[in-house]
Amino acid sequence: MTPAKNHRTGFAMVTVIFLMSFTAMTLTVLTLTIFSQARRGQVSSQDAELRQLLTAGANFAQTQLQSQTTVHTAIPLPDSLRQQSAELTIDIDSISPTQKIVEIQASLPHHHLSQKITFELQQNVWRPISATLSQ
Amino acid sequence: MRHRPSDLLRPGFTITEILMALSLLILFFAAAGQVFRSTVLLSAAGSQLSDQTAQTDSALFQLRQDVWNSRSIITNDPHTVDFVSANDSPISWKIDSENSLTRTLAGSPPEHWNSVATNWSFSADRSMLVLSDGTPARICMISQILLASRSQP
Repeated sequence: MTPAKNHRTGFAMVTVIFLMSFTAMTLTVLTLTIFSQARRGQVSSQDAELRQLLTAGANFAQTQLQSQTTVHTAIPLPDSLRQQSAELTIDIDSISPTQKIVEIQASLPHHHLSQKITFELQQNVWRPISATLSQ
Repeated sequence: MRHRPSDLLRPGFTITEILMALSLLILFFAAAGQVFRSTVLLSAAGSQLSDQTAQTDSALFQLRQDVWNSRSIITNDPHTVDFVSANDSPISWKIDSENSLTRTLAGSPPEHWNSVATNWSFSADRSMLVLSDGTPARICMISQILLASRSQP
């Protein structure tokens, strides 16, 4: 009498591999979603900080419009911002005696925002007539 | 050659062993089903969240651009906001009953963002547009034109 062959179909192994693949896929999707949401939160926070810098830069530029014609200035920032390597620069160009374009650039490491404001001299006061925000 | 009767009997399983194996198999397949279901649902939810986030970010980016360059911000009701841009173009944003957001700029086709504005409402506060989504957190968008006009040296 021949000994009975011990057949192993590998059903358990195949099923386990299948389920582990699914679990790995689920974890990957979950990790990616969490990571992208965290990254989005960080970018939103940096955007808000940069926009504040831009409005501060616009305020500073207004004080320079009366006296300067063309200027490129890096505005000194508080220590807390310098520690984050933040930078704020302003370029003022005169396009006519009554119009000036101010370009303000705010940056953090790996992130940058800028705006261009056109000022017009109306009744001896420089008034903003357009402001464009760009990334 | 003669076999004894005991040699012809093949070893079998008791009913208890079969029941235990069946119970384990049922538990295993139930768990496997749950894992499969979770995977499919999570993938779909992740994809939907990603699309929704991209839509919302796109709408907020455009809204922020409009506010930034606006000379006036008027909210007649919490679901409508009207701007006059620096070049005097009227821009209107409206939230409809299906929570879709529509931007209308004179002379351009309207832009839609579907189902992004759930519980959103607008309010104006001096040089800011305040966007609320029903939670205590609010999004404040500043008009650079209004801000600069109010802070003349």
